[in-house]
Amino acid sequence: MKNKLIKNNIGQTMVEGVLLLVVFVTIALTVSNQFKDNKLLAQIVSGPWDRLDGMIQNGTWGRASSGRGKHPNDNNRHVSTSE
Amino acid sequence: MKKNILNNSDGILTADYMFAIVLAMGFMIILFSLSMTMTMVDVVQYMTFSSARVYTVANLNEEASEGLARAKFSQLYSNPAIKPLFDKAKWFELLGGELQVGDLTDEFPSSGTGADRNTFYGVSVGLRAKMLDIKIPFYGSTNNREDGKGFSTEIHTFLGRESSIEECQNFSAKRLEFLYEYYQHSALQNTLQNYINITDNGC
Repeated sequence: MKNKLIKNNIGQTMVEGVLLLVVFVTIALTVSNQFKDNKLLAQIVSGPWDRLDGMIQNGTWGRASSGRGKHPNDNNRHVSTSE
Repeated sequence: MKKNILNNSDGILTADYMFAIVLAMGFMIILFSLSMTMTMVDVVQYMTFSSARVYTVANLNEEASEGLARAKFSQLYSNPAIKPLFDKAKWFELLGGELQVGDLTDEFPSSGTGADRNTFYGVSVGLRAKMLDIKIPFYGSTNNREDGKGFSTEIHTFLGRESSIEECQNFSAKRLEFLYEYYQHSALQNTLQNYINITDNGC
């Protein structure tokens, strides 16, 4: 008996697999591009670093350059408890 | 029985898994780097504090105090728990190559003038956390700073500085000189010749 190619299910899973793969890869690339375009990783690390740098250098939150006048060693800050 | 690889779905999530594992590992590396950086900042902060403590106490002269501060920092830096992270692993870097010791007031532009001038005597060192500058595949870099400094900071300790023995002796000698000058036309002039400088390391 001759096997009719069009009326059997052979290869159905493969087609679905390819479609699913396309979907997954598309989602992955979209997320990847979002991370790169919006520099999300840099925002997560570089953003807080500026304020951390200020705290490390001057003992006050904010950019290091703008917080120099608030260093605890400054005469006006010796007994200050304000931020 | 021969396995038809086209009729099963094994490995369908491999691409997604690879993408997810890179993201998960990336965040783990970032968290590890942040933890190490904060730890190292704390360690270097103590190293500067220890050096500033050596610098602040009276010595023969200011150069001797500076030398001791540098020696103390170098001793702490050479510890096998710390030095490999700078020299071998290259996770961190000391900026400028050496410790800044002494009067660092000029680095603080709002330090006042004249009698109100603030004094920032102590120790400072630049630290760069190279390990925070990471490029993760698919997700980009953690560094978007355009100044080229990366994740760098300055770590200071200002404890002041006591007068050195040399400065005390010079101060006393100058004071006696002024006394000679002041009384040169008075009856006390002759008795002043009997005075000598005595310093007990206190000005």
